[in-house]
Amino acid sequence: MLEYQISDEELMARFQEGDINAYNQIVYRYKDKLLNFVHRFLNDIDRAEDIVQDTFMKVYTHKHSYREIAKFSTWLYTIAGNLARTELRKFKRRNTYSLSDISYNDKEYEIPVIKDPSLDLDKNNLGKKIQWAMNELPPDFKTMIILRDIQELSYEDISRIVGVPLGTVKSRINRGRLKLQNLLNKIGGR
Amino acid sequence: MNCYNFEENISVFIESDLSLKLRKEFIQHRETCPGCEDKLNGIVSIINSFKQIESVATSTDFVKNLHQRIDKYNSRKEPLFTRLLNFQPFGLKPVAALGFVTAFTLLTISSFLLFQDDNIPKLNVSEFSQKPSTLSNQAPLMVNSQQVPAVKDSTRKDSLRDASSRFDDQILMVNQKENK
Repeated sequence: MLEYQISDEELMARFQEGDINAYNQIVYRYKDKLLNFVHRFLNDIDRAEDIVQDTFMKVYTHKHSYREIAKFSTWLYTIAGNLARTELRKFKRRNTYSLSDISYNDKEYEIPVIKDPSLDLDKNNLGKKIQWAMNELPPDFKTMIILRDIQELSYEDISRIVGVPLGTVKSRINRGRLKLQNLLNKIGGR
Repeated sequence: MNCYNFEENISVFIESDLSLKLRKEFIQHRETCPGCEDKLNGIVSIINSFKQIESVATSTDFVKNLHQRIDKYNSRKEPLFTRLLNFQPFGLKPVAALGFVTAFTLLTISSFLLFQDDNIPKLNVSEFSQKPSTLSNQAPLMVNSQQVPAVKDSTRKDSLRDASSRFDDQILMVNQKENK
């Protein structure tokens, strides 16, 4: 982890007083970290970049909502996580036919979310297999695993970001890893 | 330790957060249960795989696009409600100004109503002063208007009339005694 001379919280305080350079520094510090977080969550680089832009816009327009009682990164990941979850829900709704749209003569089934077609062509690619398995996890488990195993945040920070007790975070991360392992075993990922 | 407990504690073991006693039991179980050992190795390899996944970077236009959005946001016309909220008459914030105006209006209305309600009795001195003048060479009836209790007009007139007639009777009695 990079150590900066000026803390995120100090930069945010400067930005709250109107220093746009402080805002730019925040953007440079977090744009790639947030993109990786959102990309793992959505599995779509373009939409992930839009979400990261939206996150920084929220920081800009709601700068006074931040109080220095929490770490700045916690606040930022919370915004990005909420936006990503909303986007995922919208995406799933767009890709799923509602049962009410199907007449009684039709076979009642839901069309699942389309998976990455390249996955079938390149099953040996570990990164893609893990990404596929991640997409199969429930959103809560997925968020926590990304924050812990990819973003390498502490359990305490994850607890604050997702708003659940520390014990629940620990147990969900453990269960999430076990689910991931089962999914990878099914497709021969290891 | 059984297989269920082992599974529950895999992540805590990897994070080196397990107590010494549980750690010993965990290691003992791993050595005797090949299935659980496989699970542990599998999870360790998944965590290591995450580190090998290529990270992605934002596009070169990312910051430029963000600043365009910020410029657009800054140049937008504020909605009427927001403008009203930001309006500060005499440097007062809207809520404070509204409170001040409300208080001032209430004060004015209550003062007006208070002074409109005239229930203070009026003293008719001319009517009252006629009675004692009928008495000749007698000490005038000294009635100070301040001594008159503040009662309603009709009650006050009746009580004064009674008092003055009683006084006349007393004078007549004295005069009769003197004549005798």
